[in-house]
Amino acid sequence: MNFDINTEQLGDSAYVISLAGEVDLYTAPESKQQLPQVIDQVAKDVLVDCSNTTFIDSTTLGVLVGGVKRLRTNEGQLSLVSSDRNITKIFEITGLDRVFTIYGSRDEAVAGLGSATQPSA
Amino acid sequence: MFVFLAVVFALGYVIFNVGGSIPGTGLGDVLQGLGQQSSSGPSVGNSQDKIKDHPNDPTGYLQLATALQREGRNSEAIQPLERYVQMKPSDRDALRQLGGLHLAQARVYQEQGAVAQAQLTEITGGDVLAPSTQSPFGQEFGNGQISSLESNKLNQQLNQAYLGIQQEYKDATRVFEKLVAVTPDELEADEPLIFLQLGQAAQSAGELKKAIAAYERYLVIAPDSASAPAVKAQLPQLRAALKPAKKG
Repeated sequence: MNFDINTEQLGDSAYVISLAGEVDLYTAPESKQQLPQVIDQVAKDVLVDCSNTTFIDSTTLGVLVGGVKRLRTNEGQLSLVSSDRNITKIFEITGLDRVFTIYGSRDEAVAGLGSATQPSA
Repeated sequence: MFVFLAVVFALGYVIFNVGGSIPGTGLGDVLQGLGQQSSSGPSVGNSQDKIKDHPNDPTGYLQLATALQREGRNSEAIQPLERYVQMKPSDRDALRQLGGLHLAQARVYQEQGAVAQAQLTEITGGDVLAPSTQSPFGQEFGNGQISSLESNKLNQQLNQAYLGIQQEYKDATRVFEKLVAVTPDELEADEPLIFLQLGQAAQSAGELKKAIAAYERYLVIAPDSASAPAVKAQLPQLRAALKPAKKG
């Protein structure tokens, strides 16, 4: 599946960024530019929906870590949506499952926005 | 030999926190079936060809590591990623990934060791109803020779697993130390995780001074984090383990 990125607004200050396909430096070099740009435009909370993502590489993980830093300055948070064990394991390997809240579904994530306590490593 | 290895393995769990007692440190079965076959992106073969044609180009090694991870071959991805970070020592994303892969590989060895230990226990300790090999009946009908061959094989597996665990934690410590070294001071506060991971890797590798230093730095950076209470509880034990034993 080819890489695809979509953004939609959830509320006043929350956005969903949907990533589909393989998100890595080679198949999706544009993700490294697009993701930070989108995150910069967002006021506070970001859900990165990886429901249709098949792979995430180390560079993209670094971009997401950078996004956390950016959003923290606005007391915002970056959360992830994925029920795919292949994807969640990628975050476990790097320990980043302790940096992001990972929800099993978008509904769950939306419900958790604002009420979830961001885990801190 | 079996008893020695079993004790060493058990001590590894207790003293060096192999497996991790701090919440959130367990990596679980992270290497099992990770990734999916994909038709897009550079393949393993293409990446290997690229390295062959351009052995001094670091991108080939990163490409190969990524391709291997995409196929779930994480343990194989370690070597090209090691080569890549030798050539690109400041790539923090790659260092983070590499450190994580070493920790995950240590976990794989732990699981292999646990399986070997359980099988050994079954052969040696679980064989209580077998006839004694000292008795004529036992010599005629016992399975001592088979058990001995099996237990030797399992002892080797246990030994390899233990050595593998130690090596992976040492490698993870080395990588996270590099990651800390290339992380600018102004970014440290945003990345407490790397100090936690360094502390855990060093503790598991038995490098207690490094573990203590990393944990202390972690607590300075993230005093209110979810892992902070467990780290605080761990530190006195590590400091005590560093003190020389009293003469009796």
